[in-house]
Amino acid sequence: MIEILACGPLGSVQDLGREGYLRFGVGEAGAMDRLALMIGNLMLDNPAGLAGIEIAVFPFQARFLQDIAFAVTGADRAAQLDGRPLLPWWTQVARAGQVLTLSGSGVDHGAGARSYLLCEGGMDVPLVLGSRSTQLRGRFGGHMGRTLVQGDIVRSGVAERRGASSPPQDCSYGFGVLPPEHALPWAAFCNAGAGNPDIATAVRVVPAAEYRNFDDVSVQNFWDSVWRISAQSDRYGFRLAGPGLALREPMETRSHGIVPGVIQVPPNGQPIIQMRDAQPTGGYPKVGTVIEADLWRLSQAPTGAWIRFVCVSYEASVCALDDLDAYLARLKRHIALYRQAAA
Amino acid sequence: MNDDSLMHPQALQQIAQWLQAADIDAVTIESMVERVVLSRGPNGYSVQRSVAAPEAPSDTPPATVPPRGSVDVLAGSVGIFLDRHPWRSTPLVQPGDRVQAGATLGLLQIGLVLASVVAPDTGTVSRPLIAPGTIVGYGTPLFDIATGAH
Repeated sequence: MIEILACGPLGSVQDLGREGYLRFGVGEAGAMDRLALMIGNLMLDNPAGLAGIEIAVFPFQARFLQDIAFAVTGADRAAQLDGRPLLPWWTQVARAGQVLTLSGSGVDHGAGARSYLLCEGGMDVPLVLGSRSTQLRGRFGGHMGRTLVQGDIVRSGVAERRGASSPPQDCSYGFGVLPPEHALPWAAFCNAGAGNPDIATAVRVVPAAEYRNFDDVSVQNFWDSVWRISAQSDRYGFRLAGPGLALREPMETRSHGIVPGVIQVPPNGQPIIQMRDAQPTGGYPKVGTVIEADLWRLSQAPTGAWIRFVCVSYEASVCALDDLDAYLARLKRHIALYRQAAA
Repeated sequence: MNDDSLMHPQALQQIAQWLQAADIDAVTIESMVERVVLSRGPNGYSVQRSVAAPEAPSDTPPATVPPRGSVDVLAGSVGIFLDRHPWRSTPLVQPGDRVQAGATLGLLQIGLVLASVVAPDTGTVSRPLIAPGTIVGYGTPLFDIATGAH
C-alpha cells in the first residue's frame, strides 16, 4: 500500500489504456508514456500492463506502508528513498515506512515530462471496462475516477503475487536499465536536427486522410518546421506553435472517430496532437497521425520543447511497433538473465 | 571426444546460442584438465580447446594482492564498467570519498541492464582501477577501499 503525501495536479493511476470501447465513445486513457510503464513492470517481473502511478507535476512524495519492491521510470526527477538518491530507471525494495520523493530538482539530463511509479503486483484499483486507467473526463476508473491528492491510499496487488508476509527477495532488486532512448534513439530515423540540444525529439508521422487538402506550402512547413509544444498541452492534447497550416479550400467534415496521435488542424491553423485523454471523436481536418510506436517519445517532450515530424509509410509504422516489441523482449531476457545470476 | 571432455557439441551449441542472444563476444571455461574458449567470428562462434596446464597463464592479469587494510571491489559479472549513470554528468563517487558498506560506487552495464558495483566494506574509495567504458570480466578489480580508521 502506498500513501500519497504530496502530489501536484495530474497524478493518476494508469495502465496501458482501456481498449475496445472507443466505438462507444469511451476514450482509451492510459499512461502517456506506455513504454516507461511497461519497462517498470518488466523490472519488477510484473505483467507488462499492470497499473502504475503517472506523475506529471513535481514534487511528488509517497510513503510505502508495506515492504514492497518498486520501480521509478520515465523522466528523471532526482528520486530519493528516505533522502538517499535513487538512480533513474531503477528498481529497489522499500521497507514499510520509507518515503519516496521525486523533487524535480538537481537533474542534469534534458527534461522529460512524466515519471512512473510501479510496484510489485501493480496498483490494485478496480477494473472498469477491463482497465485500471483513470478516465478523467468520465470520472471513473483508476483511483476513484480522479487525480491523486494528499492522503490517498493506493493498494498494491502484491498480496496476490506472494504471501503478504513474505518479504521481497532483496538480491534480485536494486538494479536499473538503460533508458529506452539508448536502444531506440530518434536520430536513427531523423538526421536533421540531431545534435541540436533545442530539439527534444523527432516523431514519425503517417499522413492522414485530409493531408492532400492542405496547400503545398503548408505541407512543406509541416515537415520542415520545428514545432513548439505550447503551454496549452496536457493529457487531452498537445497544442503546437509554429507556421499556420492552411487548407486549399474550406472544408467541413462530420465528426468521426479519432485515436491518440491524430494531428488535427483547427481553423487557426495551429496543429493539435490528440493524446491519451482526447475525445474519441473530432471534426477538424487531420494532417497526419503520430505513429503509435513514437507516442512515448512525444509524451516525454515537456511544455516549451521543440519537436519535428518525419514522414513514414503505414508499413514503416507497423515495423516500428515490431521494433518496440523486439526491444521489450530483449529487455525482458536481459532482466531475467540478471535475476538468475543475482539470485 | 573422450568422456572427460568439458563440453559436448550440443552443450557448446547451446552456449553459443546464449552468447549470441546476450550479445557476448567470447567466453572462457576452465576445468582442472582443459580450457575451452568460445569466441565470435564472422561465421558464428568458434571453439578452441587446450589442455589446462597447472600454471598456464590466463588472459586476465593476476589478481592484485591488495595492501593490508584494503579491500578489492570486484566486478560481479562481465559487463561494461561505468563510473556514472548515463543520465548523470557527475561520477557516483570521487577518489578519497568515505563510503559505507553497501554504497553504489559504479555501474556494470550488462546488455540493457545496469547493475550496481557495491562497496563490500566501509572505507575510503580509490579512483577507478579501470577506465569507464571498458568491458570487464567477472572478478576484475574496479576499486580499492582503504579500510581502517582515519
